[in-house]
Amino acid sequence: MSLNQVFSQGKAVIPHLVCGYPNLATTEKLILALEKADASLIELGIPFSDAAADGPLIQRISEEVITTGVTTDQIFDLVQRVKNKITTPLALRTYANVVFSYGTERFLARAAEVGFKALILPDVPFEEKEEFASACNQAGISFISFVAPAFAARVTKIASSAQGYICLSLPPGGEVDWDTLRQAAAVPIAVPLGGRSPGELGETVVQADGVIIDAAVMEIVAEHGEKASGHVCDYVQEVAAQIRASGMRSVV
Amino acid sequence: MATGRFGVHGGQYIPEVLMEAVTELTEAYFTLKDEPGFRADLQNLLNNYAGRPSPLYYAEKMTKDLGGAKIYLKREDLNHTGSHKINNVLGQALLAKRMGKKRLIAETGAGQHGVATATAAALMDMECEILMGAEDMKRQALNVYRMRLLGAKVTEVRSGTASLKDAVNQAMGEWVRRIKDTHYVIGSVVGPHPFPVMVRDFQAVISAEIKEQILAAEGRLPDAVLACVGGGSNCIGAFYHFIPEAQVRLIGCEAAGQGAERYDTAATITTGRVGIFHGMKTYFCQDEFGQIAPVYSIAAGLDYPGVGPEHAYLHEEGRAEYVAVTDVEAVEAFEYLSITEGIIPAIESSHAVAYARRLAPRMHKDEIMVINLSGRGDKDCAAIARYRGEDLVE
Repeated sequence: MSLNQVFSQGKAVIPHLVCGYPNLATTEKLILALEKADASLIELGIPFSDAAADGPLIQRISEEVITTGVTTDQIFDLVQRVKNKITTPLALRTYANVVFSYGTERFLARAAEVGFKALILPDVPFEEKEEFASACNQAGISFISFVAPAFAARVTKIASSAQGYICLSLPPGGEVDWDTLRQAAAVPIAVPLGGRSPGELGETVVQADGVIIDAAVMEIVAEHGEKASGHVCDYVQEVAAQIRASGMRSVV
Repeated sequence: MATGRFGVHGGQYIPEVLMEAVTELTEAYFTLKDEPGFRADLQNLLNNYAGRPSPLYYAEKMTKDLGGAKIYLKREDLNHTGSHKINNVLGQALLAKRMGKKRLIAETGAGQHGVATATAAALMDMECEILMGAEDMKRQALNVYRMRLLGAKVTEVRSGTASLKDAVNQAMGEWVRRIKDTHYVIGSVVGPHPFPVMVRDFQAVISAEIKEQILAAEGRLPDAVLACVGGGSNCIGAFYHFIPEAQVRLIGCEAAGQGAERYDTAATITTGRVGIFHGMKTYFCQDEFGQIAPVYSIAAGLDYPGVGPEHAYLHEEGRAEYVAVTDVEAVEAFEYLSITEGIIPAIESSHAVAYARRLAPRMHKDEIMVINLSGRGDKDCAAIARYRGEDLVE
C-alpha cells in the first residue's frame, strides 16, 4: 500500500513503536497486533541515545533499548522478517545521527529494501533537509516534514514542498490556522495525539487527516512488557474508532 | 543549506519548533553585534564588571623549571566568577535583554557557566534557571550553592548519563516550552548556528588581548598557543586572532580521561567520528551505529561528547593540532602550577598546563608559548583532594 492510500480511506491512525522494547521479539508481536487493530500506518522508531525531541517516556525507553545492545541492523532484520506478514505500510522514525553514521545513502537503500515508505527525522528542519531528502528520493522513500503552525512565515514554504504527509507540531494550547495550512499543503496532515484520548485534541482531530498515537502505545508496552500486544490491540482499536468517527472533513 | 558552516561542519540540525527562536536570535545578533551602542555597553561590562583585560603573566619559574620555551599565562582565571565563561555570558545576556527576553536558561557542566549566567541574570534583573546533571551537582556542590545564592533556580537533570550532554538536551526542551520570554545561553561554541559563531565572537576578546599584550611585552607573536578543549569556547577564544598567523601553532588539549585508547575518555577529535547532534555536524564520541557515547573526564567542564564545529574544521584543515591529556597528567599539572607559580588552575585548564609541560622542554629558549588559563581551581580542590585519597568534604 502506498502512502497516498493510507490517507485515502478516512482518517489515518498512526501508532508509534520504539523497536526493541522490551525486546525485538515483543516488537514483532506488537507490529502484528497493530496490523490486527487496523492501524493505517505504523511508525517504527530506531532508538537514539539522546531522543531530545521526544517526551520523557520515549527518551527513557530508548536509552534502555540501547543498553540492551539492540542495533540498527537488528531492527532492519526484524522489519525484513515481519514485512511479509503484514499489509500495513511502515514509516521509520529516528534521529539524524542514526542515519548519517550508517551512511545516509546506505541507510536509505536498506530502509527501502525492508519496505519503509517514509522517513521521519525530528532533528532535521527544512533548512537541513536536502542532504536527507535527496537520498530519500533516490530510494523511493518520502521525507516527512514537520510544520509548527505558530510560525506563520515558515508554514507556507515548508508545507508547499512537503512529501508524503505533514507532521504537525502542536503548540501547547495554541491555535492552528487550518485555512493557511490547507492552502499551502499538497499532502495530508497528521497531528500527534499527545495524550491517551482523541477527545483531548478537540477540534484538531476533526480537521486533521490522521492522528499519530505518539507515546500512548509505549505507555501500555511499558506497563505490560512482553504481554502488551493484546492490550495494545484493544487500545488502538478503541482510539481508531473514535478518530474515524470524528471524521467530518472530507478526505484529500 | 543553512548558513553557519565551517567547511561541512556546523549547521542547524534542530526540531522545527526551535527554528523560529534560532532565526530570531540570528537576526538579532547580526544586527546588534557591530552596533556602537551594544559594543560600548558590552565593553563597559567587560572592563568594569568582569575585570578585563585579564593579565598576560610571564611564568618565570615554570619557564626556568621546564628549561625550554618562554611561558606566558593568559589569566582568565582572574575574571569575575573565576573563568572565561563570563565573557560570553555578558554578551548573550545583553543581547537577550535587547531582544526583550525576561528569562535566561543555561546548561552547565562544572558549574562555571551556570555561575556566570546566574551572575549576569542577577545583574540584569532577569529570571534564571540552570540545568545541571545530577552527577555534576554532586561533583560541584559549591557551584550549585553559588548559583542559588545568586538567585538562580538549579534544576537537576537525571536522564541519560546525568551530565553535561543531558543538561543540553533538557535545556533545549525547556527553551521550546518558553520560547517567547526565554533566551538559552549556550556556554560553549556548540549547538546550532548562530551559537558557534556568536560564542566565538564573544570569547575572541581573549586572543585580541593576548596579541596586544605579547606584542607589547616581546615585540612579536607567540610560537604556540595552548588551551583546553571541551566544547571549545576558551580555546577558540584564545586561537581566533591567531588563525590567520600561520607561524603560530594552535594546540587544543582534549580530556582523555583514563586514556584515549580506552572507553572512559572525552577526547572527541582524537577518538570520535563526524556525526550530527545538538544542532550541529562535527566530531562526536559515538558507537558504530551513531549512539552518542557516555564520555568521562575528571574535569566536569570537559566531559562533553562533541566539540565545536569550528574546531572540527581547523583540525581537518590542519590549522590547529588537537592532543589528548589524561586525568593523571591533568591532576599532576594542577599540583605543579600551584606549587611552582602559586596559581591554582581549574582542572579543565590543567589539561593545557599538562601538555605545556610536555611541549615546552622541546622548544627553544627564544620561543614563546602562551597557555590560556581558562579558570581558577578553587572549585576543584575538594575533588582533587579526594582523588588523592584525602577525606575532604566541602
